[in-house]
Amino acid sequence: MAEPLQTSPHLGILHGRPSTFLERGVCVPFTTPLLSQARLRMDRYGQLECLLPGFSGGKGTYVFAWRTVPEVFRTTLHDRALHREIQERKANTPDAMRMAALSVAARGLAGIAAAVVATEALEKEQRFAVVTNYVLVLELLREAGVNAPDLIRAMADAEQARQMAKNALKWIADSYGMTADEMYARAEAVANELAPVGFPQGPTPGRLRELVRRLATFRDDMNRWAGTEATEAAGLATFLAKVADETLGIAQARLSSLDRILVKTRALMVDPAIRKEAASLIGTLSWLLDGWEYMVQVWQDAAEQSDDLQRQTLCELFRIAPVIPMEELASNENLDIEALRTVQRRWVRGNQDWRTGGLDYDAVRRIEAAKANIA
Amino acid sequence: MTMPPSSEWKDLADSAASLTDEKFLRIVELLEQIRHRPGVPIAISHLRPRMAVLRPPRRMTASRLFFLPVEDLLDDVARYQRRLSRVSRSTLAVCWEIVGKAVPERQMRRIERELATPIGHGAARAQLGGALWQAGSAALHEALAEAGADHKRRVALFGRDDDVLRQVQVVADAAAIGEEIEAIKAKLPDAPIESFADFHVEELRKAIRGMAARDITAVTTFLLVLTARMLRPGDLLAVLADTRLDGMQREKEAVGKEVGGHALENLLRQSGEMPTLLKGDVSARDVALMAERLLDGLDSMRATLQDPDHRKSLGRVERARGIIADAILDRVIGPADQEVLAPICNLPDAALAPLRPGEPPVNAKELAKAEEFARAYRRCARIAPMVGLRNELQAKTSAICLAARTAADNIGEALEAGAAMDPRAADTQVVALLRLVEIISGPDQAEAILLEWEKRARITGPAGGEP
Repeated sequence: MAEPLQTSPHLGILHGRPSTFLERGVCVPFTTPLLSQARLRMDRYGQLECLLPGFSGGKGTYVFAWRTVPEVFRTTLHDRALHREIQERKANTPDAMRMAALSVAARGLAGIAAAVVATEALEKEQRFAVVTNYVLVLELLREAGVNAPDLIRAMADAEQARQMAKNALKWIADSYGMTADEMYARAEAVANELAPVGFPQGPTPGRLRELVRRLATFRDDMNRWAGTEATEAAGLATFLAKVADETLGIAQARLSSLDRILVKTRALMVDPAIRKEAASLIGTLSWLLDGWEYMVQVWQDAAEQSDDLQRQTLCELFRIAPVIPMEELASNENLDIEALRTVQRRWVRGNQDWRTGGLDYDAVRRIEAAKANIA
Repeated sequence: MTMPPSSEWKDLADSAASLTDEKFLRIVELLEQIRHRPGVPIAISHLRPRMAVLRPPRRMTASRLFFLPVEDLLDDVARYQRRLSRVSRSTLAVCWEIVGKAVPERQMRRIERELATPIGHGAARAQLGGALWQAGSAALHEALAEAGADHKRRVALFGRDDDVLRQVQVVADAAAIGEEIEAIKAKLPDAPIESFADFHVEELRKAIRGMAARDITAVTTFLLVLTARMLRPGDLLAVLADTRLDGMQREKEAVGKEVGGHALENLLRQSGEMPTLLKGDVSARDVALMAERLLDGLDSMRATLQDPDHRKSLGRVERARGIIADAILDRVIGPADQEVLAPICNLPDAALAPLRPGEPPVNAKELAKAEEFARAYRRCARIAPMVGLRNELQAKTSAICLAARTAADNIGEALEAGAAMDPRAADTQVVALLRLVEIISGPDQAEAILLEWEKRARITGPAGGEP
C-alpha cells in the first residue's frame, strides 16, 4: 500500500529537495496520466521503488514498491509492458531507462507515431556515435598534423570513411604504442561514451547539449509567461523558471568542464583518469537533465494553446519538476514550495483521473503525442 | 461597389465547401470583413462546421469585441429558438448599427488601432473592451426605451417582432457586465467547462457576491452566459446555491430558478436537434461528445427538475434521453467492430490481413482513425448505461475482444506452424490491434492477449527479442 514519504524518515525528500540524484530517482516515461514522469530508484535493500509526487493532490511524494505499481494503479498497456521491461533490465539510470522506454515504444505500444520516432531515435543514436567517432578521429589527426579534408569528403560513404579513418589511425597508433585495431577500438569506445553530448565542433549537437539549449528557451518562456499572467499561476511559472535556471547553471558549468577535456583528445585516448572524468561529467549531465526533455516538450506543445490549458500544463509541470538535489548545489538553499503546492492544489479539477480511478484515453493520447516528439 | 443579393452570399458559402482548406479560409476571411451585411451571417453559418474544424485565426474587430460577452448565447439563424434568452446572429447587425452610431468615431478608431496589435490574455481584452461595452450597452438600453415609448421608432429600429427586442435586451444586459464576464472567462477553464477547481469556485463566488451587491438582476445574465459554457450547467447553479448572499435569499433562488429553466430548455432543444445534426457529416467523436455533453448536462439539472414548475419537463427529458440513446447506438456502438477492426483485420473472420513483402504492417492513417473511433466508443461506454444501453455495449465489447483474440491466436498458430511471415511485422499488427482493444475495453483484456501472444511468438520481454 502507498506510503507517504513523511512517514519514512530515511527517504527525506519532503522538505523541498532530495539529497542526491539517486534519491531523486530517474524519470519513468509512463503514459498513464497519473503516473506520468513518476520516478524510480533503488531502495536501501536493493529493490526498485516508485516515487509519485503530489499523488491524489496530496502534499507528499508517495513511495510504492515497484512491483506493486500494477496492483495499485490501473495502467495502460504500454505502462504494463514498460514496467516489466524495467523490472527485467533493473533500469535505474537515465540512460538505461531511455533504452528501456525506446524499446517498448518501438513496438508500437505507445502508438504508431511514437513507434516510428523511437525506432528512428535508436538508429540516430547509433549514427551519432559514428559521427562522434569521425569527429574524434579528425581531432586526433589534427593533433598529429594530418590534413583531413579527404576524410570529410568521404563521410558520405560510411564504410569508405571508416576504412580511411582506420588507416590514418594506424599512423597515430604507432605514436601511441598501440596497434591500429586497438586504437580504432579505443576511439570507438570513447566516441560511444561521448555520444550523448558530442563534440562542440560536431556537425549537430549531441542529445544532452541540445537539451541544454532548449532548457534555456524554456526558462525564458517561463519568465515571460509569469510576467504577463494575472492569476496566482504566475508563481508556478516563476518557480519553474528558477528550477530551470539552477539546472542550466550547473549544466553549463559541467558542459564547459567537459568541453575543456574534449580539447585534449590525446589524453582522452590514453589517460584512463581523463576518460573517467569525462564519463563522470556526462553521467552528471544525464542525471541533471533527466525529466527535462518531457517538460520542455510538453510546454512547447502547449505554447499555442489557450490560457487555461497553459495553466493546467504548468500545474502538471510544477508537480513533476526535476528539482536539483542538495549535493549538487553550491549553497544549501532549500525551496519553500509548500505555498506553491497550495496554489497547485487549488487548480486541480474534479474530473482528473486520480479521483475517478479511470483511464482517460484522451489524456493518454496527449502524453503519447509528447512522447512521439521526444523519443 | 454594388453588393450581390443576400441569396448569392449563401450560394457562395455552399460552393466554398468544395474548396481546398487554404481557399476556404480566404473566403471566410473575406466574408468576415463584411459580416454585418444582409445575407452574410447566413452564409457564414453555412461555413461554421468546417470553420470549427479548421479554426482559422479570426481577426478581432471592434464589433467582435463588443459581442464577446454574449458570444456563448449566440445561435445561427437556422438554429435559433425564441424565449430561451439566446440571441440569433441575425440580430447582431441591428445591435451594431445602434452601437456604432453611439460610440464616438475617435474612440472606435482607437479601439480598432489597438485591436490591430495582439492583445494576449483575456484580462487584457476585458480592459480594452470596458468603455465600448459600457457605451454600447447604454445606447442599446436607450434605444429599447425609445422603442417602448414610440411604436414608429420601434419599428424603424427593431422591426415588428417582439422577440428581437428581447434579444437586444439580452445583448444590452450582457454588455453592461462585459468586463465582469470577460474577466471571469479568462480565469475559468475553457468551454465546454467540465468541472471546477477550488480556485475557480472562489473566483465565481467573489464575482457573484460583488455583482449581487450592486444589482442582483445582473447575476441572472452573468450566469446565463456562464451556464452556456458548462458541460454540466447544474454545477454552476450549485455554486450559486452555496454562495452566501446576505439578505437576498429569495432573489438568489429566483435567479437560480430562471437560469436553471433556461439551461434545461436549451439542453432539451439541443437534444431535439440531434437527429437533424446527425444527417450531416458527423464523426463518432462528435456524436460521443454531443451525447456526453447533453446527458451530463441533463443529469446536472436534477435540482431544477425537482422544482414544481419544471417537473412537467420530466417527460421531455426522457424523450431527449431516448434520442441520445438512438444516436449512440446507431453511430457508435453499432458500427464499432467494422470501424475499429477493419483497418487491421479481415472481417468477418477476424484474420489479420496478410502482408505482402515490404508492405507496412499497419496503415498509420487508418489506424489513427480507428483509434479515434475507439476513443469515441470509450466515451460512450461511460454514458451508455445511463440510457439503457448496457447490454448492447457489453455484447459489442465482447465481440470486439473475441475477434481480436481470434486474430492474435490465428497468427500465433501460423507462426508456430512455421508460416513464412516477418515476425516483427506480425508483432506490430498484434500490438496495434491490442491498443484498440485496450481503448475499447480497458487494459486488462488487452494485456492478457498480449502476454499469450508474446509467449506464443516467443517474444522475450517487450523489447521484442527475435521470436
